[in-house]
Amino acid sequence: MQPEGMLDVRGSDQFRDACREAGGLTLPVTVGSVCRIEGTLIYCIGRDHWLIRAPDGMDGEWAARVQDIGGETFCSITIVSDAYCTFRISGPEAVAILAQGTALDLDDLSFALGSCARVSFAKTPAILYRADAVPTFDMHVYRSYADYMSRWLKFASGA
Amino acid sequence: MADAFRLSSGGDIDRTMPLSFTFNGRKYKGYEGDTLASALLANGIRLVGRSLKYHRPRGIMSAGVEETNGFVQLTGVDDEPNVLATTTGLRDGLEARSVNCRPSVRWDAGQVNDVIRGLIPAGFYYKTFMWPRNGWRFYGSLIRRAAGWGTAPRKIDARLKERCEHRYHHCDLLVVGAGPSGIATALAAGRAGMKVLWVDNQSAPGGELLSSEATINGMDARGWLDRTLQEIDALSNVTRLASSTASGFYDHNFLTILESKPDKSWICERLWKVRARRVVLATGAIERPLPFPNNDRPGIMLAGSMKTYVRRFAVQPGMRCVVFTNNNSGYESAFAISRHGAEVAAIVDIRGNVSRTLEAQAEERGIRLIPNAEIVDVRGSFSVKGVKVLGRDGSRALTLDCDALGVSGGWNPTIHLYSQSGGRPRYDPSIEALVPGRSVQNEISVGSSRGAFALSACLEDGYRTGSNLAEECGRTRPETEEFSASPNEEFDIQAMWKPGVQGKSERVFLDYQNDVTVQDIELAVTENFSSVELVKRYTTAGMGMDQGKCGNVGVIGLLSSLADEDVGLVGTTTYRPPYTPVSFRAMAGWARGHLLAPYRVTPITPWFRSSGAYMAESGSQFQRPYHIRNIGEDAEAAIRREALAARTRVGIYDSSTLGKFEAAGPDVVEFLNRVYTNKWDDLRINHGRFGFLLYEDGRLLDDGVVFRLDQSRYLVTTGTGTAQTVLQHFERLLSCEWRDLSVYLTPVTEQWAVICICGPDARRFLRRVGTDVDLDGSAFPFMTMRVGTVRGFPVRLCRVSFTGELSYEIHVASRNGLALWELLMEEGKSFGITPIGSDASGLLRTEKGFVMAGVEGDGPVNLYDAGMGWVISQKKPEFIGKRSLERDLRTTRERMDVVGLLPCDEGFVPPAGSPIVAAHAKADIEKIVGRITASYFSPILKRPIALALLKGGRMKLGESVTVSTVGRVGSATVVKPVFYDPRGERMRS
Repeated sequence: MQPEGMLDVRGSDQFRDACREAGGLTLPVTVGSVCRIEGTLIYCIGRDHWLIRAPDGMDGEWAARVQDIGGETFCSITIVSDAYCTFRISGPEAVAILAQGTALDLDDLSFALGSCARVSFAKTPAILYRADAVPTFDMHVYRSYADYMSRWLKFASGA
Repeated sequence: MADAFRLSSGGDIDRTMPLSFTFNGRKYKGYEGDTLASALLANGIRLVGRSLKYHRPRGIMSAGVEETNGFVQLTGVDDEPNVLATTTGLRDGLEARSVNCRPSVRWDAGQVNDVIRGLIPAGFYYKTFMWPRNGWRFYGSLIRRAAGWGTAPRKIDARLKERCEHRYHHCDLLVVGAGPSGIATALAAGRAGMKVLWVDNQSAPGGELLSSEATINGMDARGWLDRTLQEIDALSNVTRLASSTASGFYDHNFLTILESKPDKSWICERLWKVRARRVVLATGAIERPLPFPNNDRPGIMLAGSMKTYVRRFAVQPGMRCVVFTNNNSGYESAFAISRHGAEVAAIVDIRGNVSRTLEAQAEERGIRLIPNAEIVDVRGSFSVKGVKVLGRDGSRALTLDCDALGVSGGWNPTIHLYSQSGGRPRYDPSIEALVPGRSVQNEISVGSSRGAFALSACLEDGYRTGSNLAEECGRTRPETEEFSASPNEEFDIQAMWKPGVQGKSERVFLDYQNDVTVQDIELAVTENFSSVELVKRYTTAGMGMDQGKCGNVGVIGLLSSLADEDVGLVGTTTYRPPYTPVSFRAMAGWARGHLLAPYRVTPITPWFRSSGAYMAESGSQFQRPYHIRNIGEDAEAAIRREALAARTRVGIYDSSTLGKFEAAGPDVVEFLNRVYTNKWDDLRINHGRFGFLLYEDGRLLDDGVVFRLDQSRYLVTTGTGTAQTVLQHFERLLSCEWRDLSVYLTPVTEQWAVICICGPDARRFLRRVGTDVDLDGSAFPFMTMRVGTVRGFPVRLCRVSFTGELSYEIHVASRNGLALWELLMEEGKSFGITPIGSDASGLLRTEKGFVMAGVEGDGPVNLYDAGMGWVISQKKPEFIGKRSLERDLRTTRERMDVVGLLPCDEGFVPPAGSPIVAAHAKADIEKIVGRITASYFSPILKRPIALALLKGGRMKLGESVTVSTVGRVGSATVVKPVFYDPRGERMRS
């Protein structure tokens, strides 16, 4: 996929409260849940850890916004737009392809529409997001694995 | 003889689809639906191979995975060893040959082992190969040649193109087996809506029903089967896999399943990795043979398998058969064989009291019944020609001519997966076999696999279990269904663990695959290896691919008989995975060739690849350039050229692989103080400092430079290979040890491409390229950083040096890394800019004596040994590793110090790892006093240099030591570990 704006956000409970109360930004609290705000997705990937996925070029704006509303609370906002590459796997065979690389239960009852998960995928760290019911999955991997992952996905899909 | 044993009608074969195949070089005919075994039997082939140890002639013994004799080598395009003829589907052009025989299966030189069998009893190799002490190399090569069931594939290129897939799967219920109880379980669970994965190792579901003549609820078994399968296959929540063997049952209901005929044409095997909430083992039972002299002759077959060949493959096992049994199931087989045209000359039954019904049925079919008798010998070597029968009271000796002998010694529930799950089987005297004991995991055995052999019991057991499990999962229990099946003959077995009459020379085989006989077990017990586990190791009974499918219970029964104790008290061995062999290609799956490991690349890697750089793994699975050769240049010359360029003009290298993460929070300084050996309180914004990390034991973990980005944010850099280790170390400390510290860590290794410009012309070059950062040494001194642009690219510029030269690290967003690199290469032409690989970097750091944590700092070396005591703060009360360092200081023994070496001969470049030996002691390994850690010919110094670890090295400066290398011993002078610019003026300029 085309580059996107990505922010790695860590923050305490006070930071989360500040986001909600001062900035009207409600961060998801259940690990694996995702919320959408103005075309931006916010993945909850840890107890105090979020990945904000914004349109390309919006990372700086989002970083400033979150930093501003986080104020003096304990938090860390880091732009990681160049750290990730995103692959989109879509179609009726998507689950069959992904099930070759991850032990995550991809059944829509277990990994529901609109949820995300950090996984080990074909020996690489990755973040999976179930985007729609087609089904479509977005997989974010560190940039250094993109070359390998591209070849892996082609192989797994029988190409 | 061709197809002489094929019945004119019946069976599941397709007579309109004839197939041609080759066995031992001769062509034969079979049909679609045949297995290799059924086709061989149909063509009258009795002699299929030779046994492992004694090279006895052996034939097909069963019709399934329990086969212990019928291993063949597939040749031609298949080229595969260890293949079971009984589970290999016949296809046109299939080529196979016998194994364990040379030059041919009929004339096998190895059969000399059978002649000298008295010299090679069980356990002989434990006693025979003990001397001379170093003789194993010779024995081993002989034994290796003699062992095995075929040869590994030779046509590697073709095999490498075969694709195998791994697939993870989760389900509510995994049902293993598609016999009566498996079908009933899948039916109930499927009706209740459970997510079911249903696997079976046969190509067609049905198990025993496929060869049964029973009726179920008034329908014939096949009709009931077809109707039920239709219903199950229509359920979207049930996934059915045929030709799929559950090969391993591991912890937490994790099972592996090998699918040998996947749905995708480009995949030859698929290994399923299944995590099931519940597992039902409906694995059925395996018939076991009976112990009698020469019970391994070709033509002797399990009676139930004879029935299978007749019913499923329309192959009669012989023209005139005899059945030898100790239970009622042998009769059912005999009647089935008789009904389909083969003559059954007699049923020999060890039991005195045979059911009147069976007696009448035998009489009706004209089959002679010989009760209270046993077979005491078999005539014929390559094929059964007749049997000798003797009453159990010693009377009524008679000889029966026959060409096939069916044996039924009872049925062993298939408890392999149960045993693999951690369960301990128990002995059930009512069926004289092992059955599952208490479930250890969320697993339950049903039907024959738990000893309920009657058809109606299997069906009811399966359906009830499926319904119960559905209810447990919160589903609505499916409607109750009753099953009435007939006939429902009782099993009624009388155990026979050893032959009543036994000649001195005839062997009675218990484990056919490993050639273990009754005599072997007796020998083991005589030599006091009487525990069942010791007997297994002493005789190899129950080992190997077979895992005791047919023979294990027979061994246990015999042990009980020899010890005169109850069978249940003998104990059991453990069945190990895999249940049937799994190929290495299936285990490897996609992880081979260019997908073997997830090799990582930097944004600049494509440039190096296209420039012909020698790429290799360098750490954290990154592929890095080691050197870039010009045309006509060898590697050594390339390395020297690259290093010289960095010293005299300008070099450029890719540092993107070095680990980077940002540490943020109000307690970062305290955190850094605790983990690094030096102090961090006074580090100013935009300044950097070198630091060392230690493990708790004082050993070197990693080094790196930390820059302060703003008030509470720091950029921590690490080595390439240690990035993940350091991050995990930090995260563990913050999560487990120091939860009071408010620090967050964020990896940014991938966010930034890092390009390093180094050399005396670096400043001039960067100015030429164009930057808004003032590069003057006073405005931008060593160990500081600036934020700005280089030719319009937003960057962070850091003044650090890993070469000892004036250097600028350019941190640029990864997406711009390649573009900036290419721009710098283009602009640098007039400066003679030279890309530098890891080899030249190693040379440059050796000239400067920069210690590497994983090279000089390997093993017991501490920072003082490495000559880096200056990086240890004496003012800090505590840091990780401090206590251990202080302990090291208080020891009196000589330690290994990092020193420099100047070889006396300018042509002597001892390779890294070369030992330093005490003077004049040459290669005496007792007197090694150190070793070379890095060694190069320095092009700037025009002489060889080396770094080394030397015992008490710092006290030996100026002394001469001896370095021993392969084929050469040379001397070197001990010097301080820095060879070039010892004051560091160049990098600070």
